[in-house]
Amino acid sequence: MQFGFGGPPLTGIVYNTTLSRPDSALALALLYGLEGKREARVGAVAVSENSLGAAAFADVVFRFYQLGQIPNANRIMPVGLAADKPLPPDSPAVKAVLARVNDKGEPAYRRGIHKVPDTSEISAQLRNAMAYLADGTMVYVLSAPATYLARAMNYPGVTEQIKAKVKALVICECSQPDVLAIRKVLAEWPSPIVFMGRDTAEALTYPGSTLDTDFAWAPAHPVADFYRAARSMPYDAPALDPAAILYASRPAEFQLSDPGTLEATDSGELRFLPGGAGKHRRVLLDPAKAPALLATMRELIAAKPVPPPPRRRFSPEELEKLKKQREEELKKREEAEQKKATPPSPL
Amino acid sequence: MIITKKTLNRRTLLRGLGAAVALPMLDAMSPAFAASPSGPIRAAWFYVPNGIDMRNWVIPEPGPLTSLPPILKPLESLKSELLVLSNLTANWGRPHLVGAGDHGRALAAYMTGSFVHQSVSNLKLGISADQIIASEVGRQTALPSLEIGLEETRQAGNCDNGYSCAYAYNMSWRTPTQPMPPVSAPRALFERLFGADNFTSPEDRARRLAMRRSILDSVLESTQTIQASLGPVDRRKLDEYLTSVREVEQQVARAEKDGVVIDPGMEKPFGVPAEFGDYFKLMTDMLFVAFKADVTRVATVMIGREGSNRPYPEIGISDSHHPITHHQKNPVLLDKITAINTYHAKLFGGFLQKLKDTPEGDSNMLANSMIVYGSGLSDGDTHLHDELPTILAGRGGNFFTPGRHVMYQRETPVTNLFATMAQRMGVRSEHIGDSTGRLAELSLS
Amino acid sequence: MRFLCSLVLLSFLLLLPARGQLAPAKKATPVPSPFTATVKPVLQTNCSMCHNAKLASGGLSLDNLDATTLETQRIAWERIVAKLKSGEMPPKGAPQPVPDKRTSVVEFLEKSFDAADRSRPPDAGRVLARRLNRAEYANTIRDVLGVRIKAEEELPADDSILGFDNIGEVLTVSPLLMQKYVYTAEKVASLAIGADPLPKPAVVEYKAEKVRRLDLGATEHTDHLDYSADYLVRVWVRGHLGPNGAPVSLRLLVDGQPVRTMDVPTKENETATVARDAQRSHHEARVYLEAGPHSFRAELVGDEFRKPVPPPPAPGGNQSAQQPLLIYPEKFDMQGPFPPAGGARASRSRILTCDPATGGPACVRQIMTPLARRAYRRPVTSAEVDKLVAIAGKATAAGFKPDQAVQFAIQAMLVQPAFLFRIERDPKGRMAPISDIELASRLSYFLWSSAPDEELLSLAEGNKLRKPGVLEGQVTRMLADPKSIALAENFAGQWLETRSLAAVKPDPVRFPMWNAALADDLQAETKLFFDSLLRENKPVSEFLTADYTFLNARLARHYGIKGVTGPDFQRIPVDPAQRGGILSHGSILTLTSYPARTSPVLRGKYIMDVILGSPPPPPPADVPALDESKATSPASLREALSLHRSDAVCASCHSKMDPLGFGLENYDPIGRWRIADGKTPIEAGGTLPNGVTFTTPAELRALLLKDLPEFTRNLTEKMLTYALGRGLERFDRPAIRDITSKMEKSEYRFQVLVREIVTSLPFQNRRGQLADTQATAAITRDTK
Repeated sequence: MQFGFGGPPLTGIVYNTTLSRPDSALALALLYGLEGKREARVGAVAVSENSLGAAAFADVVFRFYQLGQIPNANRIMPVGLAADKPLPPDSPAVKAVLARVNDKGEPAYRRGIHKVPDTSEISAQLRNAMAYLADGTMVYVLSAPATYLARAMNYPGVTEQIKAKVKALVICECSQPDVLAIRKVLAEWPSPIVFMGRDTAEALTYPGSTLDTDFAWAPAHPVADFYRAARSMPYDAPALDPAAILYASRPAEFQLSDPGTLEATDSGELRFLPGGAGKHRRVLLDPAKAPALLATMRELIAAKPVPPPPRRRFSPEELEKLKKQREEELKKREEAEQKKATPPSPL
Repeated sequence: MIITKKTLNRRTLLRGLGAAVALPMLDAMSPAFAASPSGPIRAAWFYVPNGIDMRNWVIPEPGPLTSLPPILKPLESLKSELLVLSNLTANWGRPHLVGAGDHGRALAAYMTGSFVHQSVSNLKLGISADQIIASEVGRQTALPSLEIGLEETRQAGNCDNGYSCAYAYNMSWRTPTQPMPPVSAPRALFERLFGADNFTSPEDRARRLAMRRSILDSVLESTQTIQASLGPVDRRKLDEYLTSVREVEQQVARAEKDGVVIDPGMEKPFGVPAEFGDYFKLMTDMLFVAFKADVTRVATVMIGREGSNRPYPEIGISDSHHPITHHQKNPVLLDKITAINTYHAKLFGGFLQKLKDTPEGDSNMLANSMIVYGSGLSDGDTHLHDELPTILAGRGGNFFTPGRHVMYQRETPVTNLFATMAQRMGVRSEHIGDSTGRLAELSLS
Repeated sequence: MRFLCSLVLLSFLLLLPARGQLAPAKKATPVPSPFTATVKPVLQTNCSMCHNAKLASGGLSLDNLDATTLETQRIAWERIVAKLKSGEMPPKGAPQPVPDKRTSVVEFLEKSFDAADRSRPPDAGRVLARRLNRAEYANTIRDVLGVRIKAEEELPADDSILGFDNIGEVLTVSPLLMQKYVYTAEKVASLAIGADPLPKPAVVEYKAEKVRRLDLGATEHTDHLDYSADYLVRVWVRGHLGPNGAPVSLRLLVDGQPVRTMDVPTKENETATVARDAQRSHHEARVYLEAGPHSFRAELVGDEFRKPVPPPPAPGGNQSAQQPLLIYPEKFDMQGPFPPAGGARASRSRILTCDPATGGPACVRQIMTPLARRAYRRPVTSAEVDKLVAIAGKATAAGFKPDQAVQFAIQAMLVQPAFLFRIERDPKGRMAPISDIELASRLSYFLWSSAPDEELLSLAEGNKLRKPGVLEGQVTRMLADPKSIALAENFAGQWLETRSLAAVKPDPVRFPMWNAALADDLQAETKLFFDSLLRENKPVSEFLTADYTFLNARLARHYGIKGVTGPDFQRIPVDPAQRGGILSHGSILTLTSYPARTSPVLRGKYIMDVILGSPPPPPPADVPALDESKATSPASLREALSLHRSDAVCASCHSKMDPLGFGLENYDPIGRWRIADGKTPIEAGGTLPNGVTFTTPAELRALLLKDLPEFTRNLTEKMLTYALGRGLERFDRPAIRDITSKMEKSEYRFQVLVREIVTSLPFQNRRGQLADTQATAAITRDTK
């Protein structure tokens, strides 16, 4: 936008996940679903504690929703991957998606990540992502060890950037082996922190049985494939990460607890202690609202890819008119040329 | 009238005797050599504008450098001294929320790793890598840093979509608001390095330098008195001036102290060679002398200002550089870009060869140097600021292990490379601009 | 109404400056209610089908807009007004508002802008302490010491911002520059007094292989001298014209100026022939040369010598057998430096009002006091002079001659901040008139790019500048002074960007006739044109329409205009069908072309940006520039560019830019008139967004004349920026509007603009310390 009176800019979501649970795959689908509805913008997707294939999967999902040209790194950054430690092997779910071929025997999905250098350095990405997003529009969704987020916080100027850009940090209830890192984040993060607990996720459990109907429109869908291959079907998955992302884009659908304190035990478990002089809050869900919200969530997760808004071109009629005008001009000029047999002498 | 029969060397006739910046003799440089057993470590940046034809630059796989891509072919003989680094990023060059003006940002963001404040009425950037280094190691040499620009003419009017020309014309920034304008006139560079003086005798030199110092002293005094009565902004202006006066004074003091005068080994040039190749060679020859004589250890060479419109008739490119880099994948244009890129690489190779052929201590000058060659844009057409074309030449004092192609993860800031160089130069500061750490894999030892 | 009364207020300010800060700050007037009645309906019916949150065409969305945005989104609103005014928006094919609705919207918006601006307390802004840029430096040296230096030789180029290189913000002092200042000051001082002894003269040779053969009878070389002194230049002529060759004359030129012509014997000399030795003779001339670069050329007079140089003789071949009767200047040598035969310099005798050898420190003080006053552009304290005298004292103590000592004092003076910087003091209150002394400098650097002269300075010292009629009189006097050519050189050269001409390199294959001399001529044409409009106080409309220009023989030949002779520029009437106004100046037409071909886009952008001051907004980040160079012929270029107009995003700007550019297609990449490019006839025409069609450059000029108010506003803003040396802020708007309306009322006379700027509130006043907090707040708001 160069200028204008547009409404508040979209919420930008940065999603740091381990991609180790089926609901995190659903979360990716939800992200792009929201983007297609212009409710949110995907700031960045970063994978930690997982394999190169997992990053490749995240990229496949991105490309699946990206109809038309794949934008370059000026527009959207490649998937981040924590690669400073030896990488684990690909999970069966990831393998299933990457191995799938169409009837012609070609890979079923467009894939952009083949080697580690095709991914983004995760801490730099978590930091750089902020530059893309307007002030006060950003939400970090952390469903992975806080190691790299904590590292990014150490870079100069980042605290100020977070203050300016980040609305909230949503921390999902998953184990935090890197206790020092999570404690640093909890202590020093300069904008509000909310906690998305498993209980809320339970209330939004995703019914695996609906997969076939919801995704019937797609002959091949990486997220569906992932879900199916993750465990033996049918099974239902508590939608922890989707809930966090839904909260990021539609906070009004949820309530927040009174201030409390989110803390990490020495074993890396997260605990929310209500009351006290805490500066964290817990996301709550009105049970009455749950079914409706789950429906919305399913709808968004199964949403079809949306083509980018076409640049308005002139209508065929208008173009015709322009062409005609020009032809007339040309004719006029030709006649003029013929009229004067000799070209005008220079003075 | 006196007519001496004997023909004298023209320097003694037309330029008088000696240089103001006294150049300590090479073998008598013990303090300067403290940095390393074999010779001082030097850092230099060569910046090419308007990006690169990446078709002919990219090396697909990491590993030892085997056959080089077309653009790098001229560097074949120097392969063993090069590290080709892939996937580095200059995040602040990107449009982000601002939009067009990529050429206005590219150079500034590349060297400083900082947000480029889009304004035509006031500047705000960061401190460039070379200046961060110079501010720490500069005191050891006559000139803390040297800024060279190979685009002699400046255009009137504004530069790129509301970004001040200062961003596109200046590679080095001493403060977020003060650029260090490059020298582009060969003669000016010569005088910057070797002085503009016409001393008639050593005594004359001594007393003139003394006068120069007392003049600068008197300036320092009067400036401080004036400053007292100024508003904050004006005081800042005068501060810049004051720092520069002090620096020149230090030069003079140094020149007085070590009276040894060396011969630059070349005649004082004037005018700008018509062919870019000659221009490049002339200027980098002087940079070579400056390094050799340890006049400075930090230098930037702007091969062209960002958005440069220079045509290269000598290699059959009569179109302006910038327009053809908007190639829209048109092979005809891409080939022209490759031609220009290759030409630049060839000239750069000439400079490297010179360093390599010059023994120093137990190795050679190139082995004691860290010379970056690169651009703040990869594809000039779509203005990409990641996957930057980057070369690190030299061993930084037998520290790096060249002869390899290293691929990093995307989004790795190019300033990480600069931070690694700074560390090698003994600079304490942890970060350079948006650097997130130091580059791994540069050295295998 | 309020418009008028604020005019009154302004003149009141100028008459009684001291009361400036008493000017009542008027209360903010609420934006009139008709917004919803007048503006909203039009925008909603005619604009929001593209400019809504979903499409946000051109990055503009008009959803949820209300009157308050007039204040908060001012810049956006001004773009909207501009587009509506010019009829660019809504685009062709989209439903148009009824004309009177359109105008009423525009009028309403402009009124409310003006009201809003004037409702704020007046603010004159603040000019940073400004270092002299290199043009100002050289001029000041010239006027204070009577020494001429080539600034571009001595000093690095200054950074420019807002299109000008005299803006305080970027006039920084790098160590490089400081070193240069020290050297230059030393050099200038020695040029002024000439007290330094010259080194022992000697000889230097320029061997045959070091010189350039221009043709059969001419040889040239260039070199840079470090001493201003006499030199003996000697030319060696080689060969002969056979046994009975008649003498020919040899002309020696220095820097293109003939200095001496002498006869050369050409008879074959037996002894040389017998000795199988090349026959040579030498011929010399003694010349005074300033330090700096010089070119030396020796040429044999006569057409038979104007032939190209024959190929070198085959190795082993007998020279004289292959090239009989050959004679040519072969090489040079030069002796010197010798003390100038002319004796003492004029500057020396003017500066040394007493003899420092006998007069001692008292004399040095007597010399330095008036110099320092002129150099610092203000009365000097005895303490300041003491500093300089002390330096001279040190020098004598160090054993320098008395007049050398004065040189050092001068050198010291020329590196003082008081000389290098133009510093103004912040007044106490919110805003107050600058002192007469400060005003004098603003005036002289605006009109002369140099220091105030004696008359102006003493008026200022006597606080007489603001007495009735005085300022007026000074402006008249200064504009009449030759020094005011500085406006054409420094202001026009940058506003019209003709300074960049040096950087332009047309394709040497397609345009072999392009050379530095031609570039200079083209630059001179525009410079002289601007200068004449100003001196003769012509209406600024002549920039667009003048039916004359300034040419010399060479440039006339370039344009294909007959009947102009001689190297001097003359005012020449032009055929209106082909040329008129600056848009037919070769300088501008070349600037806006690519080396091998014209660029309608660049030329169109130039008109919108430089001429009309409404630069097209930058292209959206994700739209790469359309590749013109793919186009091989003008026709296909039109095809390529028509894409611009079929894509709405591009069309929003290019539908205006491109046609304007095509309107100049009759001028080739180096500004020559053409009716065809190769085989393809030129189509110099197009249709502007508002539907108006034109077919020739003349018609285009006529159309542009309709935009005279826009042109004037732009010229005013540019010149005010240059005059103040700072970027214009929102609080300058009322001043700009006042100036332009004065222009309208006085036939757009050029000098009216200069006078109005000089008497304007921002030029006369300066923001005080008190105002800082509010002001910075305002600025950040505006630059949002």
